[in-house]
Amino acid sequence: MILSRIFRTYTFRFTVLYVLIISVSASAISTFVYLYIARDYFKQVDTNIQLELQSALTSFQRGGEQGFSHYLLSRTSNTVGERYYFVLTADDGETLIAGNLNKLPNLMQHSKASFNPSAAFSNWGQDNSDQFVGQSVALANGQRIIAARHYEDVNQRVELVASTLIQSTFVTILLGIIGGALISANMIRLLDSLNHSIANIMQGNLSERLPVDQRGGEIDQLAAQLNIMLDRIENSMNDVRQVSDNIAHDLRTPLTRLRNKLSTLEKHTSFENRGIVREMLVEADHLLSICAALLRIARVESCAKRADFNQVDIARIFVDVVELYEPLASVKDIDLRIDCEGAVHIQGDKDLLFQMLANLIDNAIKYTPVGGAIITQLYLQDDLIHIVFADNGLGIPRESYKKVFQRFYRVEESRGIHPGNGLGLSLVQAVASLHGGQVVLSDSLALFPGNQTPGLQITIKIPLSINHLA
Amino acid sequence: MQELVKILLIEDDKQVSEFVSLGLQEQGYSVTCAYDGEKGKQLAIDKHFDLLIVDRMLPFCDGLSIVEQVRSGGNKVPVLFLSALADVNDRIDGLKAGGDDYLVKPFAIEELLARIEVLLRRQDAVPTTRLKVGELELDLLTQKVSREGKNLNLQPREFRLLEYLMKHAGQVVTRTMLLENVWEYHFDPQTNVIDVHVSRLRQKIDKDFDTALLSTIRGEGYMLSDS
Repeated sequence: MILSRIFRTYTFRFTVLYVLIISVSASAISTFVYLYIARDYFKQVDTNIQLELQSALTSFQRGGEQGFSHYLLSRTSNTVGERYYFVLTADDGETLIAGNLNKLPNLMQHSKASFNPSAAFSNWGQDNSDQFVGQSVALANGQRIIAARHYEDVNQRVELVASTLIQSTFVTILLGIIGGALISANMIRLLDSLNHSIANIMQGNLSERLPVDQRGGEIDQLAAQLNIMLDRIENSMNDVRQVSDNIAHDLRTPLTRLRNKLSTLEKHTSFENRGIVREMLVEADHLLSICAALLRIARVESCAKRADFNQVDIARIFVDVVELYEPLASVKDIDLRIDCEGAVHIQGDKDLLFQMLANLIDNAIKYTPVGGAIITQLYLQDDLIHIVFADNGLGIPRESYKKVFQRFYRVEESRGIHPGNGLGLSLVQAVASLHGGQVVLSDSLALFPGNQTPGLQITIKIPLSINHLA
Repeated sequence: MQELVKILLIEDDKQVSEFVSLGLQEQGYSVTCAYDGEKGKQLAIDKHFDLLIVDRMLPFCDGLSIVEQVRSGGNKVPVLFLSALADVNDRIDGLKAGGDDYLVKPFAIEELLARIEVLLRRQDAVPTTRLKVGELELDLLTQKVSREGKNLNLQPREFRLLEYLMKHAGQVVTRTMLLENVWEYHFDPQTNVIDVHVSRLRQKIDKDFDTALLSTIRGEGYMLSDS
């Protein structure tokens, strides 16, 4: 799921942090702006009301009730601008004599009405329709003049400021999140393609390289650096391989001569020495077979052999291998079962495939105890040829599954007990990947349910067609 | 006195050449050595030999074209290729050019000797449908095998194994030769898998009889013979 992946990226986390900082500062600035505007504004409102009250008082003192009404008329006929309310009470200070309100206005506490940001918020949504902000002045005879403004009218402007500031803060945060998600998604896309290429390279052909386009962004720089690293890895791997191949190649000729001289010696030596010479011959043959195996793997890994591929029936080869090794199994009283489909044709190298399958069944017979069982299968599934060799022997530790493909690696327990050079499975893997296939190790409990030991199952999966590899 | 079998060895590696010719001379063959392709070709065309041993890669003229030219003159002399090239297609190229056998370097001298023996005998082999070694008989048409008149029941592969051994009766047959000719695969068996097949066959043809026909030649291979 791409969304959950976006949330997990570092880019997204950085973006979220960034958005958080932005929102805190935006809120702080907004609050400051609000406080500043509101303080000035309410001061201004107070001053204006004060002035109006003063003017109304002056008009009343000059012209009495009539003067007050005149003033009232002049201030309220103009509908544009701030709207003021004036009230003149009787000497009880309560009864209305004149004014543009039909009842005594309910004046707010000064502290609440003037500069008080919390009031602006705490009154939010409340019904303030009969609340007024205003001042009154008492006359000598007990009468009162009140000048006021509607609270909602006064507050409208600060509310507008506050809501604008709040909205813009939200928009900032929202834009930050969207931007972060977009940048993260883009980053994921770039890194994904990089990851994908690297996985491909490590899995298959080490001589492939990451694509670098010419724009020279940081991802391209990373890809270029990784390519340099791959160059180094490939070079040193090639060096190591080259050295071992060279050793094998250079040892082969003198070893052959040694073997031939020993074999000449065997014919001419005295009877009592013949046994020793024969042992030496066996050793020489063993060394020669290691050299031959190493060189064979080197040739297979070079992939040049694909040019020699012919149409082969892998099922036929499989049956031939099992048939060739069947007597070896029966000598150990091993129950060797074969389950195979009809002809399956692929492009391949007949002798190498035979060698690969022979190595596998040879191993299986070697490591299956006397009286054990081996199941061999060849079947087609999803355009992949599955070739299975499963035994109910001891199996090998799971942590060795990867290592058995290394050259000369032998599972510790088998050293000294079973003959072999530790090259068999290296060749198996080389031949399988030459044919576009892979080798999978597992326990064999699926085929031998209820077995006491895990056993070992080796499955070769080879695609029917490797055109895409050519 | 029987005339010596004459072998021409065309091989540019002096050490290999020396070692091979020593081994051949010990067996009583007369060996002529050529160290480059041009000289080898002239010798092969001008003089009579009973067998040619030709390296694939030679200075001046490579092994394949030597054999092609020798064959184009109608010469049917048996040819054995020696080569460091072990791929199937190299082998096929060699056989297509007119080679009769193909041995990959490095090889044991016994392997070479056994193959030479087979090639030299092949010439005078008469095509037949019945093979006979002592009292052991094999009928290629009816696929029946009998010894001293008793029918022996062989598996198809055992039949082909016996057929090959009988066709080369009296000759040493190596394990590699059996793999190449009976199983028709070129590969390197890690274990004694051929031995088990041979001993199974031996059970069937020798066990109930007084004399053993199939013997193991230590370090070399097997031989089926009457004596």
